[in-house]
Amino acid sequence: MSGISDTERMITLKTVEGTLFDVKSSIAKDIKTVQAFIDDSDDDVTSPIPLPNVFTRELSRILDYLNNHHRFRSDIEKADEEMARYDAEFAKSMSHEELKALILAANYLNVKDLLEFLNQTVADVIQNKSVEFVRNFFGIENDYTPEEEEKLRNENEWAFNGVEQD
Amino acid sequence: MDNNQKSINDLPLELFQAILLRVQAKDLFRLKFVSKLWFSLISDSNFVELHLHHSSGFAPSLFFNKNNEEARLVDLHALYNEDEENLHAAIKDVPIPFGNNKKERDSYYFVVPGSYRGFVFLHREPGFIIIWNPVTGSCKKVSHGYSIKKDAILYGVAYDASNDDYLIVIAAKRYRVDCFSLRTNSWIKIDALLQRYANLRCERKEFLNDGSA
Repeated sequence: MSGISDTERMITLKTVEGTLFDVKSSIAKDIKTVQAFIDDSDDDVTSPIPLPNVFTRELSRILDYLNNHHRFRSDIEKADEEMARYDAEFAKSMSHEELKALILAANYLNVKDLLEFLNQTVADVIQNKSVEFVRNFFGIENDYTPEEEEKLRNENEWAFNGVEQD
Repeated sequence: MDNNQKSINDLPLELFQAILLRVQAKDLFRLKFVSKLWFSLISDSNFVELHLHHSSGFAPSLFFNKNNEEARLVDLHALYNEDEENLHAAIKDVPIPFGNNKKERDSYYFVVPGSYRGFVFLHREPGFIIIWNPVTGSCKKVSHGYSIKKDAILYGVAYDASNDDYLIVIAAKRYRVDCFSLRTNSWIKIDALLQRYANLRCERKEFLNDGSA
């Protein structure tokens, strides 16, 4: 049904550090940036595809995620439950720094499902957090003057109730 | 493939938007104060609309006018799902987005023509309507020439799904019906419509409203 055969074509990806990863072409399809590269080469890809923005740690994680999701999907009955468990574990296994690095990589490689999942993970992280936490998290500089910020806060005090301590 | 992104700060705006779309409405308002860019991102009317479509189901809330200055929002979802000690989180007092001038605020009469999909419509005499999302704090002011107290026979808000548009409908004496389209930001005059019903003199002050807020 899945069309995956033993002789499925492999594609080689090369990270910033020069690490090579062999990837099934069915998995590569989910990595849109790679797939676009393959399409542009008229399917004639013999040498490793260089990924100048993607580090080994992130690519390894992304492939892990995709391989597992492909595997879950082949067993429809257990798919949802196992996937949810895997996803929760996957999100938990990363530090905030790793999570951000993975978002950058998933965004660059255009891995849609993973990116959506990571966006939700970040949204869950910043939920109920203070403005300062969110600034630190994203490395955003506060461009309000102290006076502007004070004024906004006084006018909107209610919005800051119920915020978790960082 | 020569894009050289290094820090999350260089993320395309779309990605920040994609993340913010997944943040609950109640948290969005506070996040406006992260930076001026975020303020404009979250205040953007397209974003508000996208967020509305994105959120999985509404968190229905009740809306009470406390003293013409503050409204009390009761999050019904939290009311039924939170533990007893967290119940206070279900109730929030938010300022009603009229001007800051207290004196001015007191002297005005306002009514709530209705609510729809998280937006509350406030009519303030004389002559303007505020469309307000009390959860996110976003609001928009629309001016018109009516005094609802003196002129209007019927008024209400409606959602036009075919155009994904919100309409404010005011029927006034002398059989005029005016309709404001939020999408085009303009008034549409519907002169002929009310003739037939003109002798109804309906006393009901809300119609066309099956809103959720």
